[in-house]
Amino acid sequence: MATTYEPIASQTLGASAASVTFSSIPGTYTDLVLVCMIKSTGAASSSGGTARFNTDSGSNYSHTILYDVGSIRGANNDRVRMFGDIPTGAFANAIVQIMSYANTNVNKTFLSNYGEAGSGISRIVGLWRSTAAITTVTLYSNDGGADSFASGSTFSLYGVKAA
Amino acid sequence: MATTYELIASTTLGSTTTGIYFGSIPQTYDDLVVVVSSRSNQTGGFSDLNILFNTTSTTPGVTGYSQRHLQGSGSAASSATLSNYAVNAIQPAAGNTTSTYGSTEFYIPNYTGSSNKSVSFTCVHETNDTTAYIRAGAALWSNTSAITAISIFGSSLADFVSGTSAHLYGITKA
Repeated sequence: MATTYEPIASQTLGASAASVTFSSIPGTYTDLVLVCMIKSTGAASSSGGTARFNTDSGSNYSHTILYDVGSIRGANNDRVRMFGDIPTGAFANAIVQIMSYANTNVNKTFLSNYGEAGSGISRIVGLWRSTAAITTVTLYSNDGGADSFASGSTFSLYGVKAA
Repeated sequence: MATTYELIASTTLGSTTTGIYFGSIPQTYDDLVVVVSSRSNQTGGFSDLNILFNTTSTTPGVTGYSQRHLQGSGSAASSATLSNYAVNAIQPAAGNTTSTYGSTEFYIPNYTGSSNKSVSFTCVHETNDTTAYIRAGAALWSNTSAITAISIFGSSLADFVSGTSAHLYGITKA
């Protein structure tokens, strides 16, 4: 039977890190799934975890967030919100689905399911206004601040193939 | 290449049953996914769907569990917290559209690790009505034991109806 949900790469932090990168992502799948267990090092981040694709730091990102006390819309940002506020005391979960990541006819979108029982939950839809195939994903624990992902945080990337 | 999203166990009920139990869960994966299609025979418009770890109990109200969830009803959104109960989702009940089951997915990362165990879940209540619920939640089992068993059950007042199913998958990372 063909394998349809394949592990591509995974990282477990042995020390804190300001960012985590998956590069050289093969273009042979249909969608990507990113599964994370994450914790922050510093004071609880007030701006949430973010991401960039293909190291693009232009104002090409936008997002809409539903979270437990409201909703937020962001546009024309230089990175996209992918996680909610990352806690320091417990690990939060994130399951991110990046659809049609290698399709060069469409801008790239993702859905993020994020939550931690003590600090909050978020459902995020994000947009990268680029038709380039995604070959690199860089994750940050904040929106440009000094916090880092804490040691023990894990990141697993999977490729999903359509029929 | 090793299979990474692998079916561990599956149950489909042929009669009214209090709960579904997955025991002796292999410790060889990284994450677990539990997919449930369920309906309760409880009177009313919705019912609880609960899971507990490392127990055969089908009674909620257990210390060590906490959660926060977002919920929409079709006309309003709300958020709530829950503690010392179970991982708590919702499912259709006897007052909802017949022959209609709710869908729930529980994702449990790092289930064999030595940290407290977190759960991400999404459930849809499913009924042809102006009020139907979707719930998105984050739960925590404050226990550092590896998960070796999962008990899936409804409200303490009712059972699952025939046709309810649950499937347990193991996920292996690269």
